[in-house]
Amino acid sequence: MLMEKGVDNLNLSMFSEDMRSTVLNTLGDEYTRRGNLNEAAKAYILAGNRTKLSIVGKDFERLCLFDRAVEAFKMAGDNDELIRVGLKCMEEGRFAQSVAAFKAINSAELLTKLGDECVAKGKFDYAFEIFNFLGDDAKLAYVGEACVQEGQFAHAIKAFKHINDHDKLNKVGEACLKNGLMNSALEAFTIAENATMIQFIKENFGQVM
Amino acid sequence: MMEEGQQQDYFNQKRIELMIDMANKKVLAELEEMKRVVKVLETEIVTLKQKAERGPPINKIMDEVKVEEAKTEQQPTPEVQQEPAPVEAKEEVKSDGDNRYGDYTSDDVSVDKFFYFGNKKE
Repeated sequence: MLMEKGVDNLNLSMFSEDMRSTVLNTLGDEYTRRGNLNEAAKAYILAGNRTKLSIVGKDFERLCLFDRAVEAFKMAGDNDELIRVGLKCMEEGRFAQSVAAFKAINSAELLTKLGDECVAKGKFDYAFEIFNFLGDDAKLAYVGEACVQEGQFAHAIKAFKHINDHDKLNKVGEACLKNGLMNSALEAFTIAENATMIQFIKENFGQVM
Repeated sequence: MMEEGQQQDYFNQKRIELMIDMANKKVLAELEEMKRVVKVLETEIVTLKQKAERGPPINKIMDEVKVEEAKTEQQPTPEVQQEPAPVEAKEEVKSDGDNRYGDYTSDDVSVDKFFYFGNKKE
């Protein structure tokens, strides 16, 4: 009966803290047994049972629900599992989940390693997110350069804008001009406050844009 | 690495979020139920208005109600009415006399004015 109603709709306020915890843990166990991991996680969260939450995280991982697994490990405070699942995701190319796992444990070393891996695989969005999170300007410049080489000018502008590197932005603007990307060029020159080039683009390519 | 305290804070934050979410769901369900009841009441009001428009005017209904009320008030219980009955009778006689127009006697009006006793041929 209680299980059919769902954890959300239960009112256990009439019970003592211990009794409530027992009921919720029992519910969580039963939900886990039946494979309803979302409800199980809710029951364990309400019961304050972080150990069981970590077990639910492993079940999520078995089902390849890595987002949920990372979230469960994060709530459970299980750093070992977060590192393990983060590395696994990195190897498998699940960069979003890997970033979430390493961010959860706030490991600069692992995040840098992951950021480099993202640059190598051309996942500049994640690389930018990681180095921005770490506040590593040198790495952001490195990401920007890599983006220019790969022709990912929008990402390059984003990276150089963040570190406020006007010279690099001007270079990106020129590269965009050469490739006929007037909007991107204008954006780069605008951020670089290059009034001459802004006027040049507006006067000569205003109608094209 | 993230400290134990920070992780505990995150867990507590999520726990409270879940509790708030649950409370919100309950409040929303109650609101939905209230909306449903209001809708039913609205429908009933519309139906009653339509009935009132189709039926006799409200003044007539009110008159009928008043008459019925008056009737129920006039229906006396036998024990109570025995004593005041003569008084009412007297009052009725008196009021009948008052309501007569003119208060004439037979001497006031000449019979000649109503009947002609002369020659019809003239």
